Amino acid sequence: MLRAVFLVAAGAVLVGLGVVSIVTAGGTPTAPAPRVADRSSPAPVEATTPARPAGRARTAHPERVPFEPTSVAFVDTSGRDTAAVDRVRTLADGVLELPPDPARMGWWEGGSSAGAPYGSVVLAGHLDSRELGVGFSALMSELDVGEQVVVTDDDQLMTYVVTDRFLQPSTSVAALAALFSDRGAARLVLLTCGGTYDQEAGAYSDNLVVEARPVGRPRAR
Amino acid sequence: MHIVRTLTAVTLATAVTALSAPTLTAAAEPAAASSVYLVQGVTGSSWSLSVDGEEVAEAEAKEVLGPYDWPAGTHTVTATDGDGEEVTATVEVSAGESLDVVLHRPVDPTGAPLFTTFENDLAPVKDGSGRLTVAHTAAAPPADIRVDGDVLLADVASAEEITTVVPTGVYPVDIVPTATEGPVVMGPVDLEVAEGALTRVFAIGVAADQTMDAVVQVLPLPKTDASAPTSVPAGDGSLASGSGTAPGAWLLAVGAVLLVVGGRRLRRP
Repeated sequence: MLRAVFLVAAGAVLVGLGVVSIVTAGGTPTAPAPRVADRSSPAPVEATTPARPAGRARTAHPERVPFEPTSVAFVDTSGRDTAAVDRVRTLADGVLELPPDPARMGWWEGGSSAGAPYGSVVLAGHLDSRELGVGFSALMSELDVGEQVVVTDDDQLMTYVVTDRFLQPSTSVAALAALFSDRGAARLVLLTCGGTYDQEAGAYSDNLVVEARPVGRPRAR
Repeated sequence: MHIVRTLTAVTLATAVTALSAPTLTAAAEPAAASSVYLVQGVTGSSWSLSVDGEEVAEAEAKEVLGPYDWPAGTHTVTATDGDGEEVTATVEVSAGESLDVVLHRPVDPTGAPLFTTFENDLAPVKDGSGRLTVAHTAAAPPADIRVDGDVLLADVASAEEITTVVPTGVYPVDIVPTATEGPVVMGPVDLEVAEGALTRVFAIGVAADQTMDAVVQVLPLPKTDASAPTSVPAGDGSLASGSGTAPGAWLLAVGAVLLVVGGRRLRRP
């Protein structure tokens, strides 16, 4: 009787173990069988996405880039007076070229651009012309310290505030050189003629000089 | 450990590219051929660079390769490192264009490097000056470039550049996060701005690791004359103040106008 019980118990255990093993085998994840090479999918060694365009660099704050002036305005004179500005150069004899029309000013191309970090932005114009009349530059004698001069091109604007106005003998070359320097602090230098006119020499005794300091940076108009 | 490069006497090594600076007139035409440079701007790494499927060079950090004359059109640049990482992009080139193609880190230093193109402004520059372009190609926030502690160029962000024109010379330059006094992320270093040239500075590296550095590239430019004038004759005396004859001329002119106007009035019925 005990043997029968043992056998039954043993059998039950074996059956139980068998059930467990079958259940376990069904639940345990087994390693998948190695795949046969599948030709329908590409070998994973080449990039499958097409190359995208490289980004193009942007200019940070383009409104701040130093610019060549095309217009100048005296803000605080009796009318808000404006003149177009042409690019001018030093001629072979050392004379600064000026626009023949005294209604226009010249920007010296050897000087700094408006908003440049160093040096003089030089604008000059005829005081007068027998044929064409009184120049825009005649207004320079009205510019007082603290008044504004605004220089623009199509997109940008730069403001200066007058710091000084004086006459300088027109033969004083060394002093002129200092005004034209590209190495000093950034400033605006306006030039025309002044003083008395010497008929014999055919020249004015002085240059009228207005200096102005930049206010901030160039900005969009 | 001293990591930050604050050697004030160090002049940045320049990758001086192309040769003799031609003194062309301002009206010189650009060559029809393009001019492309490859810049390896990923610090602490070496990349194999290929163009249109052909290997060009194995480039260490800060190397500038070229110029190459690529035909106008679309080209593919690829960079591969020793671990198999690959960066690839297409670049559009126009005839006559001068371009830098730069491999660099994004703002996030853990991100994959990328290519960005920078066009070179080869317009003439006046004698005694140089064009300076600073480009941000680093894992760093927007930055200010300062000279002697004063901001020269402000608020440049990753993949951006700013250009200015300054007198030639050596400038002690450092870089700080924009609108701050520090910490200095690069420099101060002595930057030479060459005459009659475009001096390009690519800021590279990782600000957080204090490994910022710079690639300096110098490209010659045509120059315009900048001889200072010695006289400014700006008038012919017709408005002369204090002169004997000119006021007389004015009086005559004004008088003549009055006569004409008066004459017209008299003729009205």
